[in-house]
Amino acid sequence: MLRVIEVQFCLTNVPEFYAPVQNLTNKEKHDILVIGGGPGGYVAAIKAAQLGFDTACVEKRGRLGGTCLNVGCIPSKALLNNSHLFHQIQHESKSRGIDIKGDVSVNLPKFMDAKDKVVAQLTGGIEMLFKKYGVKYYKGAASFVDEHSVNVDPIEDGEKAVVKADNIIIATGSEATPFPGIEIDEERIVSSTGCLSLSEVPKRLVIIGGGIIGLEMGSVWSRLGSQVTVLEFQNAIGAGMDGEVSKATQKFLTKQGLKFKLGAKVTKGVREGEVVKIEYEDTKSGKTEALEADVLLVAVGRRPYLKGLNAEAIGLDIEKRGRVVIDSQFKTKFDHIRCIGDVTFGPMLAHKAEEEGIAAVEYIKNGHGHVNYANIPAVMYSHPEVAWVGQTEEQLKEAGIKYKVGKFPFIANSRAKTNMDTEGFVKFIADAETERVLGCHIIGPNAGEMIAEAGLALEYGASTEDIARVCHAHPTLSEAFKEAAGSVFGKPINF
Amino acid sequence: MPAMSPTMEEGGIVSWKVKEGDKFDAGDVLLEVETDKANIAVEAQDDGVMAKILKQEGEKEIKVGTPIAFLAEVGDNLAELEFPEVEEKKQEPKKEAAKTPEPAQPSPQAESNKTNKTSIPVASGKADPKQVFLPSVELLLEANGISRDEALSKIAATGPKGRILRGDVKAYLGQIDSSNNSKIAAYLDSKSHLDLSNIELRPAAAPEKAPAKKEKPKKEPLKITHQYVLPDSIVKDDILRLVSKAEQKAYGKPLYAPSELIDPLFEDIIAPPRNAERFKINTSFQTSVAEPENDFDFEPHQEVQQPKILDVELVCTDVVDAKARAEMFVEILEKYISRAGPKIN
Ligand SMILES: Cc1cc2nc3c(=O)[nH]c(=O)nc-3n(C[C@H](O)[C@H](O)[C@H](O)COP(=O)(O)OP(=O)(O)OC[C@H]3O[C@@H](n4cnc5c(N)ncnc54)[C@H](O)[C@@H]3O)c2cc1C
Repeated sequence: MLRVIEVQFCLTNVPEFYAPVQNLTNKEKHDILVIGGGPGGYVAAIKAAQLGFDTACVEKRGRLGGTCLNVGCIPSKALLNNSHLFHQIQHESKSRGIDIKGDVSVNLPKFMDAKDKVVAQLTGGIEMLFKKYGVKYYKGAASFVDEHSVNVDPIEDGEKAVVKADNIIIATGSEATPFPGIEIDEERIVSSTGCLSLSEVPKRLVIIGGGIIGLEMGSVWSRLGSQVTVLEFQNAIGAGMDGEVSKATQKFLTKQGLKFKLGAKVTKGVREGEVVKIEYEDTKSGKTEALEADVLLVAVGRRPYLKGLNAEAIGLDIEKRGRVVIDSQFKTKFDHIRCIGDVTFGPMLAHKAEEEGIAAVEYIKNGHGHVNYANIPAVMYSHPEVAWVGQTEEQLKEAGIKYKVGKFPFIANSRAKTNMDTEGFVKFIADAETERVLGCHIIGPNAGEMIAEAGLALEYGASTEDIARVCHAHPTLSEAFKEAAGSVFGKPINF
Repeated sequence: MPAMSPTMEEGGIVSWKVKEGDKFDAGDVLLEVETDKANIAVEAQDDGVMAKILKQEGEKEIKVGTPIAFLAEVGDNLAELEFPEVEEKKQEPKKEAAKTPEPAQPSPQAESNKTNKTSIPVASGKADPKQVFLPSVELLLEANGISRDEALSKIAATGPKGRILRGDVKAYLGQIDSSNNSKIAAYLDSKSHLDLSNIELRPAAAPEKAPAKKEKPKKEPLKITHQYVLPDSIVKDDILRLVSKAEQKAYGKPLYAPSELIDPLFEDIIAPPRNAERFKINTSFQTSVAEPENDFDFEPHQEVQQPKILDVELVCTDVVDAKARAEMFVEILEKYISRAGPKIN
């Protein structure tokens, strides 16, 4: 497809007497400009190009893929998967009848290389997709000049440009929320980013925050040999998980050697030489406890990221927690500027950002788009995995909706048994009268893959009976899913 | 009557915002509904035309699920439309509970031209005629001898996109209360959108500090003084560099010890602007005289002064956190200086 790009050379914002030739700036015009190349931004850009828009994307990281591919989902899953393999070889080979001669050990630099290679391949892959679909890629930091133009301050081999666009999509993502009083040096006191590339296995790893990121990182380093302690202010881990699942998760992780201090209010975390001194108050007893760590991970959440965007220049509305204010069509106060992903409302998840990226572009193209926020799955890639979609028991109680629960344990599932991997259960929550599926919560092997089926059920308004009447292959873990659905009203066959 | 909340059972019509024959776009307000809790505007889910209004302004206690108007699709010829009969239900004993088609979403019942081939409005209560039945639905229909045609024309669908759900059949059979289905549908619908209500904007700029009212007008500015003993090797320029580094740090560092009462984002917003002046720094040195160190000095005749003691005076402004930041500065500078070389104590 041939596209005509309108390129004008002109002088911008430069006093006349001060305008040597090298200050010539590219000035380009596009139908859609996407700011940020994370899962929200790059997906929006590709979709827009596919729909025939002249599309550009600005990214200042030097690599596409955003938090997710560079310092989030992907590298963390690489470490989780490989550390799990190591853990299994170490602890399970004997019972599985596999003899290992000599030592099994982790070569940390190579371990990290394996992760970095995957990241490089995937981020490079997106750049290829940009080329394939003709998305113009500006390498640099975007800042608003006015409502229709954005200045690109180049990095690496990027070009300086003032880019004009009819539509702008802001997808600048999020950053780790700092903990007041604790200074991150990414060496001894780290955010998730530093924790993904530690140069040695810390003897003692202390984690502030028992949310998904904290527990995933804790799992990785615990398997590699760290003594891990999780300090969580709330009285439950796994932020937002169904209560019963959260308790089970804590039980399984404790069995793996992680230590949990719930109701712990951290009051201090300072580096002293090569150790970090931590103090926390036990909110129940009021007693202050002290801890030492070789590495302290601060994982207390993420906050919207707007630095350098110069959103003030156009007076974008920002609410008090820093999120960009949008309407139901992702429009900011300007009809032609939309905003998606972590930097605005909703759960901070990569697939949510992607859905919004597609929907925002469809709104521009057709005037309608679709994201069902009642059906966004969440997954924690620990072992066993934890995955859920829809409503929790706690939410339904609060809304005063009568429900019934059906559960099936993996210990009664033949495939889980064969795999010698039987921790966890599938739990369905359905409307008490109609059996309509309201939520599904899985803790167990492969929970993250299995949850997709529950998403499908929710999207179609299926009842648990509908799931129980669908033939599931034998022997698979998904039979546990079917049995759990069947046990909301009937009786499971194998338990 | 759309269910505006999971618990709503009936409502009244405050006012119609469109007249019969009016066109509207998705998102336009069609009418205002009165519930026991509040008056709520009902928006159109799709573009369309107001074909016929059944319940007039001022009517109250209309049961959830009762048709209040017919909507047609854009382009439909209103004169040719045949409206289905809206009966308060002939009471066949078996089907008692199935009163009328129930819109699941807060959108009035939609009905289009019967010759119309376009798709079914989202969760309108009208069953999508092309749907493949869910297994549970198919079984229930079969068990109760209900034909596909009967199901599609008579059963109010509360599933997404006109899908008949297991609960819809049970309500039609009178086995459960039909209001349950629309309640669940309304609840799920409310969860399917981002909650964009009650947004509190961050102030564009941090609020200016109001002039202190009750304080005596002429308050002496607070002064903090500190004396630093300097290490041997250090030169004046280095010290001044450390002073300005410490100043930057003292302005940027979080002030509060972490606590569950402190939300860093919120603190950030209510804190005075980072660049507001907290204190003025006056420095003076007590010095000793040293020989110039090298011959390449541009001003060979000037004596290089070796500072021994640094006196710092911080004059605080009335910004809320001026004192705290000034004290922080004193501490930070102390740390910097002690790191800069061995102390001569
Ligand atoms: C350790 C970790 C693990 C995670 N694991 C998962 C997981 O398993 N599953 C999941 O769903 N989510 C996970 N997440 C969350 C996920 O990464 C985010 O939800 C997702 O990346 C959000 O996408 P986004 O496009 O909104 O923003 P981002 O991915 O943050 O991308 C925004 C991009 O915009 C760029 N940018 C910002 N400002 C400018 C500017 N002015 N000019 C140019 N470019 C700019 C940034 O450099 C960045 O690359 C994880 C996050 C972390 C930190």
